[in-house]
Formats: sequence, C-alpha cells, structure tokens
Amino acid sequence: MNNGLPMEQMFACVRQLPPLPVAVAEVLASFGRPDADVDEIAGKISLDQGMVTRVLRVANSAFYGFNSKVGTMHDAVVLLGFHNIRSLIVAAGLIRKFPSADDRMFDRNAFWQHNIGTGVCARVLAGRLGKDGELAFIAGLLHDVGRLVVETCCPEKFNAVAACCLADDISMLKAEQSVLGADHTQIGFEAARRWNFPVAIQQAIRDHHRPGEASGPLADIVHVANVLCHALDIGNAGYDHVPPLSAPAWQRLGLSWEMVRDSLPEIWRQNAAASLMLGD
Amino acid sequence: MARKTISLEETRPGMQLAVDVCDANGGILLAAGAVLSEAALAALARRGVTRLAVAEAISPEERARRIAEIDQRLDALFRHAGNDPLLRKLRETVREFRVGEL
Repeated sequence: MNNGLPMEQMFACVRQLPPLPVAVAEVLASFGRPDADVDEIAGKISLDQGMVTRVLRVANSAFYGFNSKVGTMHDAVVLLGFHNIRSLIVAAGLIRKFPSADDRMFDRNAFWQHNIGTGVCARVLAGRLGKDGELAFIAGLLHDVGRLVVETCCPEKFNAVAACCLADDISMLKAEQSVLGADHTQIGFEAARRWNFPVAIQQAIRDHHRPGEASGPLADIVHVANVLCHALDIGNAGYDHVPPLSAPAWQRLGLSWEMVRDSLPEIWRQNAAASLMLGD
Repeated sequence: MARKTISLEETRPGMQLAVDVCDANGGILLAAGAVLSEAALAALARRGVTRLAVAEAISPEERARRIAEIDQRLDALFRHAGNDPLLRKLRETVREFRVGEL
C-alpha cells in the first residue's frame, strides 16, 4: 500500500525549507502582540519593491474605495490600519517567495487563487460570526501550504500525487497518503511549526480537512471556507471536486444557510480585489 | 446582469461597464456601472486599455444555455457528494447565487 517516502523523510524535507521573508515572519508573530512596532515592520516591507507593488495594488482597488491613490507603504498602513494590512503583507510576501514559473507542471497561479479564495471565504464567514476576519484570511491563505512544501522540496513526488489523483479520481488526501506516507495537512503543520506561525493557524492547517472539538474555531472556519471555495470553483487546489463538509464543524460555528447565501456577493467582491495580488 | 469581455474597438457609447477598469497599480480609471461615452472610450484608449467587460442583455435561449452550463459544472464538482444533506444544500445555495448573477 505505502510504497512512497516514509513520513520521517517527508519531514526531513520540511527541515530544508527556506526561511520566510523577515517581514512576513514578523507580521505573523505580531498577531496577539498589540505592542508590535508598526513603523519598523512597514519600513522593512518597503525594502521589497515587488511586495510593496502587490500590497498597493490591492489597497488601491475598488474594495477599499479610497478617493486618492495609496502611493506608499506608509500611506497604506495609515489608511488601512496595521491590523487590516497585515494579511495583505503576508499574502504578498508568500506569493513573492513562491511565484509561478512556466517550467513547472504545478500551476501556482491557480494554487494561489484557491488559497486567496479560501482566505476571502474565511474572512467573510468570520465577520458574520463576530470573529477576527484578518486572522481567518491568513489561515485560509496558508491552509494548503503543505502542498507548496512538497512541490518545492520534492517536485517529482508532487507530480506523482497529482497523477494518482487524476488516474484514480480519488481525493488529494488519499493520494498523498499512498504516495508520500503523509498528507498536506501533516506536512503543512510541520512547516507551520518550523516557521513559528501562531498556534491557532498551525491547528487550522493541520485540521482543516477533519476539524474536531479541540481544533478551535479557526480550524472550523477554514474547513468550511475551503469547501465553499471549491463549490464556488475559485482557483484550483489540485483536485476538482468539493470535499466533505463536517456537520459537527458547521454546528459548532452556528452557521446558517442564510448567512452563507448573504455572504456570497461579498465573497465575490473581495475575491476580485484580493486577486489583484497575483500577476506580475 | 450578464457580462461579456470585448475589445475596445467593439465597444460602443451607451454600453454599461460591468467591472472596474484599473491601472497597473489598481487605481480605478472607470468604475463598474458607468455608461460609456465617446469621451470616456477615448480616454481609456489613451490609457492603453484594450479590453472591457460590459453588461450584456441575454436572450432567454442564451440564459437557458448558461444555466445548463452551470448545472453541468456543479454535477462535476459535486460528483463525490452522494446524498450528503449539507453538500446538497451547499450546491443549491451556490446554484442560486450563480443563476442570480446571470
């Protein structure tokens, strides 16, 4: 059954991951730390022009509706507030770190589109539920980071998983277990620990396919957001069907279908704005 | 209202813009909903815009065809859903939204 890499080898792979861009690491660490030095972090981001361009593209979109142009990182922090801009910084930093490349089989643009879509679904649902929307966006954005790790560290294994999914029309989780001996939630969790993501985000990455009592509300939100993003057909996660939706997670959150229905136009609007992050 | 993307040459004054036109930095040149004038079209051409999404009135036949397309795609996406009641409700909710956007 399991003729692939043993799990330990897969995790050794994770240990070779490059570090996160400094600004992204600091922004992630700033969650739950109200004393974070905003100006210092904004200053560091300003050094990376590619990142600044992406953040400003979204900050200038119709979604935020500013009358005048947001021209600098400093303006963006002042106008949007550090809390709101954090998620844009993390997204821009990671998309820069793992850009799309033509010579790869993996369509990173579609991958990021799925993750941005999930982040937006998570943010809008969190808002309806009175939870922190920006944290939910980042958790949604990062939920499939394990797939990125596999693709970066061992692309040939990644391609084998994709081929297995396609040939047998099975879920990504099953294909990964069979080819790698571990799935993207476990691998993503290892990477998230190594990168010192906030604990709630680590748990959301680990449990987004099977959230339990102990997973926490963020994992429940990301779980529902991922399923919703598949149903809305936004981007491509590497498999082309809607995954199971956990009834206990749904009940724990106290979601209703009216809430979901009322959220869809907002999700559509926010997704168009957040997608400006992609592209050159 | 349905929308279609057409080249600037095909665009005529009086058509309604369906999606914001932005510059490379995301700044809005013209907002969705604007009715296009000769002057606006000329200004967009000067800014190097080549394609626009405009609102489109569709015939009942075209509408039926697009709904069939939506259903076909949902069939594919939900092919592993079985009779799961939550996923069935999710599919209904998404379908209603998609059809409403037409």
